[in-house]
Amino acid sequence: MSRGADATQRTMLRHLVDYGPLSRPELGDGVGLARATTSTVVNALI
Amino acid sequence: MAELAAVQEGRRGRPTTLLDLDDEHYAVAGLEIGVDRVLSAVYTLRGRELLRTERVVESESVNPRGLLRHAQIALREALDQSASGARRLLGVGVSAPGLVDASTGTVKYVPSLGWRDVALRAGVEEALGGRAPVLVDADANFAALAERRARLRAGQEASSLVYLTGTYGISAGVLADGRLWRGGRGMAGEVGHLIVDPDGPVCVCGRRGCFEARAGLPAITAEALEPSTRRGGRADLPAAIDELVIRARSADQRVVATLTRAGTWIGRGAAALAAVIDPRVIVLGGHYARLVPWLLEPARRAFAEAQLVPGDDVPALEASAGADWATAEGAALAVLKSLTEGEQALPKGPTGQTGAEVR
Repeated sequence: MSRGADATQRTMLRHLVDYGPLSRPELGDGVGLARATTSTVVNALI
Repeated sequence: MAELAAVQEGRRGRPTTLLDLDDEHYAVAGLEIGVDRVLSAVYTLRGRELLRTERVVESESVNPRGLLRHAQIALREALDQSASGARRLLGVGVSAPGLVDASTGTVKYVPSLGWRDVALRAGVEEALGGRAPVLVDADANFAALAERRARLRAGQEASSLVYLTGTYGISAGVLADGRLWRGGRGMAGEVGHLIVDPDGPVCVCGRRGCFEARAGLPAITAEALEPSTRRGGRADLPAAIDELVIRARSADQRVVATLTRAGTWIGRGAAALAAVIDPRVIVLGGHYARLVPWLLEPARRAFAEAQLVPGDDVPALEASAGADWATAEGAALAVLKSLTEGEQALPKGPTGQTGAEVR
């Protein structure tokens, strides 16, 4: 996994640890991630 | 490390898919080594508790070797718990009640235990046989992390916070911009031996008038309870707190007056911290939380009186919500934080699914 995707994973995980589960709008509005970025990263996480 | 779950919101429409931490394949453990007991807990990544144990340590075993022996038993239970659920233990956080160099995992000094330069991380790693990473930190730092998460999830201020432990001593976990503030030598927050009253009683450290000699729980119980009800040695502090609560509820004048005085000293000590750190909130945790009905108001009064610029915008002095297990919970949470902060490699996903989509 690229360094950028790894950082995105960690950003998502940080949010999950601190605040709990996330939906698609929250990935965008809460975490600030673009839709194109997240699908790959989500796949790598699960 | 994460998984997707479909959640039906309302009666109509497509279910929403949420991304959440994996709750099935991993575990994190927290161990609180206290003066008289070892608390251990194992959690899923979502914070669901899988195991909780409390071991009271007899006074003759209150030495590094004796406490480590209890910690080893607790660790074995944590490993067994994880293995029985086919979970991978991602790490163990271990706390000590004193000065800790988290970078080396060494306990530098615990006055109430007489510990100096104890290589705690090495001891725990040996007990674990290298099966999981080990993080060591001061109890107050871990408790501050647990308090932060609880407050974030409740929508409360959490980025600028001081967590005061009330156990055998007093120490502070300091969060600045949401992160632990460790200071130049990594040992910030040891406030129990701040001298607040040079003419005050002699402290366990040998000096006079330390914050914890005035407001620490051993000082409170010694002043409020007759020797016969103090129930002997230091292993009985929780029992003494029970007794204080019972008597304070029945308006025992000696107990209420002692708690009022102690609350006043807590407020003064908290004001000194606020002057240096300027947090948004100072939280009373540990055993203090049980005594909040009697401590908090005098503490707030003394705190307000000590402000250079009084008003509504002074830091808030509040009670912790989950004080008893905050340190063990925070120790386990610190393992997760070490993953999200890049201090450890992320584990690979256990399911190997592809094509996942969060809606």
